[in-house]
Amino acid sequence: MSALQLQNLSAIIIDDHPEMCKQLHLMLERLGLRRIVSAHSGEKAIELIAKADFNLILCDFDLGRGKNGLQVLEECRHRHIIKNTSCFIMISAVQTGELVLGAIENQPDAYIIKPITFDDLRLRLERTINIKDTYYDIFHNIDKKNYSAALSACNLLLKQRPKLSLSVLKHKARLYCLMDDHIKAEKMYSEILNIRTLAWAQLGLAKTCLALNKLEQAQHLLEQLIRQHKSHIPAYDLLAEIKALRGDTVGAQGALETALQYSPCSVRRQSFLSKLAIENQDWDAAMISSRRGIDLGKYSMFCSADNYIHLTAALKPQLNSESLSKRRAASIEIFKTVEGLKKDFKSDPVVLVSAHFIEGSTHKQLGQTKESEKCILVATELIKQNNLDQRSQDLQLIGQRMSLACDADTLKDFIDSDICTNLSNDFKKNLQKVKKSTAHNEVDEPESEIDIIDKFNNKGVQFFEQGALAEAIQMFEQATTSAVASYSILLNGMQAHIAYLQKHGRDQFSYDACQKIIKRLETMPPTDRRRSRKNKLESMFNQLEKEWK
Amino acid sequence: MKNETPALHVQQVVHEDHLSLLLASSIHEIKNNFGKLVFAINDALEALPNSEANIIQDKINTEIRHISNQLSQVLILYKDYQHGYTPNIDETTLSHLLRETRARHLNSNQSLQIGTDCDADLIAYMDDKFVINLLDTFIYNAQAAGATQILISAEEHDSAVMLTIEDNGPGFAPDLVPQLNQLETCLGETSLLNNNFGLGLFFAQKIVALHKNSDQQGSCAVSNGGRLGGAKVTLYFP
Repeated sequence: MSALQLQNLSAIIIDDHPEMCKQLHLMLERLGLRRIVSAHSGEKAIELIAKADFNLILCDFDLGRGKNGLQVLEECRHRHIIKNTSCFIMISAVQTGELVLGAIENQPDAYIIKPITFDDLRLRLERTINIKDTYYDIFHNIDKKNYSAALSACNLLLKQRPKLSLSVLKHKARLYCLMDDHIKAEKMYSEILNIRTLAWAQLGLAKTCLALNKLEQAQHLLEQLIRQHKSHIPAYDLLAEIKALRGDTVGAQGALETALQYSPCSVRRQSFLSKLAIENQDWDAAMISSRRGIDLGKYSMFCSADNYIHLTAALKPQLNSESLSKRRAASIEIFKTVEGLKKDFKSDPVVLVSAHFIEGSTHKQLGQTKESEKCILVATELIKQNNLDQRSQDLQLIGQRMSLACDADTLKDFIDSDICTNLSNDFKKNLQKVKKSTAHNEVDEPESEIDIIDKFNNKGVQFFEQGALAEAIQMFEQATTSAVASYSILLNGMQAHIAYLQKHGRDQFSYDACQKIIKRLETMPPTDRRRSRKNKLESMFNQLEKEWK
Repeated sequence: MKNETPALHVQQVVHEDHLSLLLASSIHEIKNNFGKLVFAINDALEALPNSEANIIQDKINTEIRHISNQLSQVLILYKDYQHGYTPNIDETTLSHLLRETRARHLNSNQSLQIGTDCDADLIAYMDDKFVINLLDTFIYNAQAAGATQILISAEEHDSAVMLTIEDNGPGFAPDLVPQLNQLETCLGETSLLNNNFGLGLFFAQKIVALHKNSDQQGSCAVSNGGRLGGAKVTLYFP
């Protein structure tokens, strides 16, 4: 006897066009369903699904304004408000790659391509319900979190219907993962892979390797999977996670960037990418991904304050640009992003405090002292009003965000203030280290030397902006002769020398200095975003050399 | 200046498959023209008496839907293929696949008889959207050749799944069968590929060969006879 009889099923139709809802309603009625409701937006649908169990969810991908069909599915699965026994069917005008290539856990049970006829719907429903019915005892017990009963159901099905064995083993392996028995899961996936090379089993094995901390093996498996299936998005996501854990943030960023070429609509993927890009000081990539993350997050439950913070952090270097228009554009976007942050997270005091500090720091870097002090005062008051100074976790989060998006002085003032008395010195030190590494890409260098170089570099930039090239060169020389000078500082020095050579003609001192810098820049990794600037400066230098010859 | 990279205009060598771009663009245009044709047909149907128009309209609409879906799918494949295409091979319950195929064709042609023969639990590992296209192609070809009965069956055969499409039509010209089974090596025989069936079979062989398991590869064979006495096409999925 089938557990899922069509006429007993309850259904929800999600479509922003009432006419489409009506047509689907009539078709479901013709199939014998009696309990049918409609929702015209993703938000309303989620509200209804959270309140009542639906056996069948028919959801259009394009829901107009607000959440789209995939976001509805993603939220329902994440909040566990749809059961494993329920059928989620996605309706779409076309079966685009973007739709199919998302995360595996967010795949619908079936797709129907428009225009839908009664027979299309009937056949697709029969197929989907038949599958749910076959594995009903497994799914039902997973829903009840009775995993041992689900395992027994798997074993029974293996005996009764041996032709389904690989499929049942897939559920068994998943159950072992749910039970945190990763050793058994690993064995199960290996067993499956001995029978047939299947992408889901390769991914499953890599996941269990990650859980068992076999990172190298997991990475190897995923790289193998990607060689066979170039568009396997979950493999790229997991590979990025593993590479980041192994300290290869550049490799992790590369994996995510490839995944985004195939499937750009994931808020979480964009957030992870912007985080990695900030770590790699790839400001352009961080800007693009954090902007996209903010945009995608508008209607997603995965909307995160981090995307906003990352965007301000990525824009911050432009506040030091020699171009006035770039400085202006960056400051406008930072202030706009901060306003968005305050508006979208108005009930989160930790975010509000971070937003005011970033705003204050930006004003400070623009020389707007009064405005800066005002913002920092508001931030400090918010901390006291909400007793955040008593909660070291919240203070730590604020500090971490500030280390990404605020200037060094604002961060130092915060850490040294009475508010942070309870924070451990180690944490404070660590924060400042992070700050230094973000600014200079030199983590382990002595703080004092970096500070000195930084000051010379800043002065050099100021002179350069005023057109005082000789003075700028003097300052940059102090900075670039240090062994720990970052690539950015070396490039600044080289740019000043080239500007001098262009203006005054051949000068042996600047010529030699450029050659020395070019030699030191040879160690710049090929993936470093500053490479394009390096190439341009080198070609300018080569051009000058040619002219002199 | 600090950390600031001037915008560079580096001429990048972008690899583009111009041929597939042209094809995609042509298909897009065909899709648009096809839409206009549909409107024109509907206008023409309005001039017919209602009873006649309804029957014709049903048939036309089914075909329109099929062509539209195919054209859309080609454009989507083009979009996805730009990053490198690999088939999406996953488990498929063949009884469902055959039942859906049967229903789709019976809707558009009531004079055709399609039977299916398959174990309810038989599973194959395949990219089902391609296999659906292949089955559609062979059914259309059988109809075009004059078949009125078609049998689609699936069974396990030496750890592979064998999908067979048989009909009661006139079958293949016996002298062509060996060449049809080796189209890859008969590419010079343009007459074979210009023929609608030859072209369909050529694509089928290519698609089935994408299905691999260990050292085995999918294959496709044609013959005459079978249970209905006409053409027989067999697809092997390892």
